[in-house]
Amino acid sequence: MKQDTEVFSVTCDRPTPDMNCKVRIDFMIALWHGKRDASTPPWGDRTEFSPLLRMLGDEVAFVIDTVASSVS
Amino acid sequence: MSLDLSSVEAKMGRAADHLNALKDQVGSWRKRDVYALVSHVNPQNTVFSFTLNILNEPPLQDWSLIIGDCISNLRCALDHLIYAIAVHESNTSPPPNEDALMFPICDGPTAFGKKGVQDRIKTLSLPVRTAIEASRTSDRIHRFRPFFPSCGISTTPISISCSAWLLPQSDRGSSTYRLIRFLVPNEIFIPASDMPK
Repeated sequence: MKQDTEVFSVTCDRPTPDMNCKVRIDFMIALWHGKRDASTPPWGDRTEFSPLLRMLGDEVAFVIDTVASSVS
Repeated sequence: MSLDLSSVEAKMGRAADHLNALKDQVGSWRKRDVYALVSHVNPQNTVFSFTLNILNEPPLQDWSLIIGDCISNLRCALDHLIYAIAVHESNTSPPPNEDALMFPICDGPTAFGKKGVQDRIKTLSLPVRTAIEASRTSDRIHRFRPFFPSCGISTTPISISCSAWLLPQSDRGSSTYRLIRFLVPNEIFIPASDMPK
């Protein structure tokens, strides 16, 4: 996101001077990684950094354990 | 001689250190006022909008470098594993085929059998090569749901493969030279009183 990015808008079909609404917007620190396949949801090509890196670490640890246990 | 995994564990530890450092930096950054929203309304009172005013730029380049270091250490841990096994099995250090040793991560299920991949581990014993093939990351799919847990938006687990993240630089093509891309974070609440009147 960049300075002055529009993040939210509401368009009414008639003048609404007393417009009053409550909005909550979530942002996240995410890493882009591409989709696994076409069935992945539109936002599925990015993941919050912490679980993604933790998952990678778990994966590597799993591989290390598996391969090391094969050594006689 | 027992298998010496000390350098493997050191690399894994360094990766964890980078992740923890990043969490600390992100946490410190988020405690500040990082964004404000500016409200807008058109003269006809029909279009109401908010734009982003960035008060404190996130140090994305620094974070990108830390994440790159984290992933690099994970990748190196796998290579150190292969080297340690080669030393253990050959009982020599440096081991045979030292320059070619590398943990083969394949970006596809058929790539493992290619000569260039097999050359990386050809001096290792058959049980080890079999274990590597069985555990290769390209075929492992991870399912988790990291998106917007507080909002419950993501109820469908997403699937990704971690193989592309751990490919050696020579196999990553142009992405080798790109910084890791970020999307920007934070949580903003807009009280009703802040809406344009």
